[in-house]
Formats: sequence, structure tokens, C-alpha cells
Amino acid sequence: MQNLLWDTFFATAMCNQDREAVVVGGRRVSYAQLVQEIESCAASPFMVGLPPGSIVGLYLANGLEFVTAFWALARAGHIALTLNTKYQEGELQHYLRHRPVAALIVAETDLVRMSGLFASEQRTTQVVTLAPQSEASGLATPEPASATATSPVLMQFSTGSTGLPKGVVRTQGNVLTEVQAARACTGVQPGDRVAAIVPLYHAHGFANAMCAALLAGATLVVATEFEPRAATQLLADERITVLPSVPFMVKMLGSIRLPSQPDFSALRLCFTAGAALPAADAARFKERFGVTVHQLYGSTETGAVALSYTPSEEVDRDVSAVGRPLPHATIAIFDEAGGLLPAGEIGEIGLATAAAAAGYDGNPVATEAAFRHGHFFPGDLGRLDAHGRLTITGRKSLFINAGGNKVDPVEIEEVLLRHAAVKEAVVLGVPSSMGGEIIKAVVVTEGDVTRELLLAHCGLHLGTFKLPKLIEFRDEIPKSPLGKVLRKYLI
Amino acid sequence: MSDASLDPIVAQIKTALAQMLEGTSVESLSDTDLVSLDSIGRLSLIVELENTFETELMGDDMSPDCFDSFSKLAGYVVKRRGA
Repeated sequence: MQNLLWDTFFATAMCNQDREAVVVGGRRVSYAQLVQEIESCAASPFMVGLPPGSIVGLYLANGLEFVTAFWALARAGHIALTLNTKYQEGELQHYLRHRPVAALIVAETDLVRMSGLFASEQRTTQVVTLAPQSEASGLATPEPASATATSPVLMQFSTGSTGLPKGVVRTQGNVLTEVQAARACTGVQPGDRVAAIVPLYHAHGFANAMCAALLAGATLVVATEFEPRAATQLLADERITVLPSVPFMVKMLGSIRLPSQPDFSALRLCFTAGAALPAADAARFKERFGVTVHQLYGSTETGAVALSYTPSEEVDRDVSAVGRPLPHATIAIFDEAGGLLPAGEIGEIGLATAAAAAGYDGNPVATEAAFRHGHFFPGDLGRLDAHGRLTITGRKSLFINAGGNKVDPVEIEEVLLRHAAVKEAVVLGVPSSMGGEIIKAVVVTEGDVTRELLLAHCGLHLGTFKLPKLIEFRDEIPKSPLGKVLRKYLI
Repeated sequence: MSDASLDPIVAQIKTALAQMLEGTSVESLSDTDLVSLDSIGRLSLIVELENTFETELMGDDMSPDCFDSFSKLAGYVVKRRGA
């Protein structure tokens, strides 16, 4: 019986049985042992009792349990709903009400709290932990369930920067296509050691760390939580070769004091996702670790679609670009009428890839808005250069309709940031009682500067209709764990 | 250890926090103010403090409790520096 994703993983595992598959917290698990762990999980009573195609929530931090649970679910033809472990009860209930969830797998320490989530409701969701192998049921391990390229296997929520999170379901074929295409660029292979310092529940860590390593026969070295000095030690001690990361982590790794310079010579590739990578942070990282940080572009809906690195190319080039499309993807730039724009022109980015979800789960309105013309539109603006490299220039969905004029907030932010006292600036539109929107700027400043001084500065560079009507001074800009500005808290 | 001996350290911590947050007014921060930071803010502050005090702050006993207030954090910094 065919199970596309499991068969691919299993074949890889059998070719690398004695090689380390997962290293976490002092445990070193070979591929042969990992397969045993997964099959043991598949034989547990709660797994055996799940109806075919069940949705099972994973509320697990980075660790062997996450890895084992995901692959056991894929093997059994179920759908893993990966949940951010920083979610509080109210948020979790929102996500778990989206669709019937048959079970929620949690850490031992969360069992009582998570069980309480459902205490007051007529729900049939089981809240379970993964029993250690020695406490397994003794039941015979069932055969892998049939699953094809179109079988759903992963459910995540796309938060975006505005609006309610939307459910994204991806199939076994979607995941496999993405991982194999990324591998064609990253060159991950047996012998590589891939660090998981980013959360595995997130699309980036899930695909570019866990699946990238385990579908290539490489070793996944897991950090249970990110602490910069411990992470640098992990990179050195475990001879990490590939480091998927996010800009904040790159900044911390490049800045944290180290009593001595560890040996990072094994590291060959580091790339970030989730937000733009500041050049200064990339430079500090390179000085310490000796490698250029590259950028990966993608989304929860499509997985990775572009990477500013291929092994065969000169790597020290324009790091502001997020790179060329991966082999499975095409990237096009559209004008407002839906026409294609040539190289150099800025427009809305459309992504076409066999790794993309078909739409938003149970949300036809949002699907129609974002999935059109055979492309997924993440709401980003950008341009392709003559070599096909993509540069992100802003967000379309954030355009402000100021009295009928469409204003790009990025343009105003750039002007504000040119003022010496402005350290961070976010510009957005807020509803106006006169209809349309008015322009609001939220700034983090240093030193003496007033609203009047900032407006005078903007007036030197911007037309009057682009001048912020509201300027709010804040101590910090709220950001997501991946460093994305949370605009909904700025309105 | 008297509270007075912590004052210069408290002042430096406030400055480091202000630098990290890029805009916080140091004068507006009381010594007993809660240092309310998320994990990203906490890590950023540690990096800033380490570079300010030229020491490594993360020991086995380092916990978010140390970030309850500027005074408490200052006490921890003093302890780590062996002052």
C-alpha cells in the first residue's frame, strides 16, 4: 500500500539506518531507532483508534516527541495540526474549534492544563501524551495507511499581519515537492547536520529544518528552545553544517558575547525567513561564523519558493534579494489589472507552485482573494531583475487609501527613518470618519524630537497627501516571534 | 550589599534597556519598575547588558525572575561580576 511521504522517509531511513537521525538534549537517535519510535507511536491505543484522515493537534515544543508524532501521523494517513506552543488557552480554543480535532498531543507538563481546555465543552477531543516506548501498548504495529500526493497531511494557520488567521491544509505531495525542490538548491545530503533552532511547529522549521534533514538522510540537531550562547555552542559542538534561522536569531548569534571563539568551520549555509534581513546583522554574523547569510522567501500557503543561494554560484552577491525561484516554483509580477510586468517593474508578487495549498480551509472568500490566475498572492510587492532574482519592496495589502490616493506606507517609513532620531517606523492606514483612511505613523525615537519636527522632515520629501496625520511615539514596535510587525496592535 | 551600591549598575541597566528599546526615556524608569519583556526582548537585553558590562550573564541560575525589576537585575549583575 503506497504512502507517499512515509515511503520516501522510510526508504531514506533504511539507507541510513546507523546514521544519527535526531540529536536532542543528549539523546542520539539513529534512523533505525527513529523508525522504531515512530512505529511504536503508531501502535499506541489512541493512534490505532483514530478514524482515517483524522486531524490531530501537536502542541509540542521542539523535541523528539514532535518528530515522532508527525511521522506517525503521516504514516497513518492523518493530518497534523501544528500549534504554536506560545498560544494561550483562548487562542488555542479558536484554532481547535476551526475543525473537529480528534486528538491533541501535548507534553507531559501540559497535560492537566490542556485537558482543562475541553472540560466545559461537549467535545470528543482526546488530550494525550506520547507514552515512552517501554510503556507502549504491545499492540501490533498497523501497516502504513494508503496516502497519495493529494492526501492532506499538514494543517497550519497563516496569521499574516492583519485579519483572522486562516487554516491552510497541505498535502503529502505539496510537502514532498517543496522539500525536494529546496534540497536541489541547499544540497542537503547524508552527512549534513541541520540545526533546528527555529520552532518545528512553524512552516519554516517544519519544512526547512525537520523535513529537509530527515528526507535527505541528514542529522537533525534540535534545540529545545533558543538561547543564543547555547545555540553557538550547539553549532560548534555538533559541527552544524546547515542553519535555517530568522533575522532576530542571526542578530543574537552575531552579537552575543563569547568567552572564546568556538570552531564554526563546519557551517556552510545559513538562511533566514519570515522577515527582511538587516544588512548590519548579516555582516556581524558573517564576521563571526564566516558564512554569508542568505534569504529564503515563502509562506505557510506555499512553503519555500525562492532562496538566494545555490551551491554552484558565487555566493557573495546582492543579499537584499530573496533569490531565484526554487525549481518547482515560478514567480511573476502582476500589475493591478492582472497583467504581467517585465523585469525591473514593481508589482504584486504571484507564486505558482505544486507545493501550494489549494486554498484556505473553509474560507472561500479569503481563498478567492488570494488564490487567482493559477497563482497564490501573498500580498507582497516586489520586482524581478534581469537574472530572475526577486526583491521584496513592500506589502500591497498595506497600501493606504488616503482621499482616493493610494499611498505606499513603505515610502513614508523610509523617509521617517532618514531622520536621525527615528530608530523604527511603521506607517499604516486607520479608518477615517470622513471615509477612506488617514495615515498614521508609529515611531520609536531616540533623543529630542517632536511631532512638528518629524512632519517638517517628511514635508521635505513627500507630497502633502502622504504626510502622516497621526504620529504616535512608542517605546517599541510589537512584533511576532519571527520578527514580523504586528500592525493590528498599532491601529 | 546596600541598595546604594546598586545605583550605578541600575543606571547602566536602564541605559542598556533604553538602547535596546531605542527610545525609552531613562528618566521615566523607576528602580523598582517591572522589566516586562517577552522572550525576544529578554534576549535582546541580555546581549545589550553583556556588552555594557563586558561579562557573560547567562548562568545556570539565570531565569526570567532576574528580570522582575531593575534593582533585582542589578543585584544579579553585581553577583555575576563578583563585585
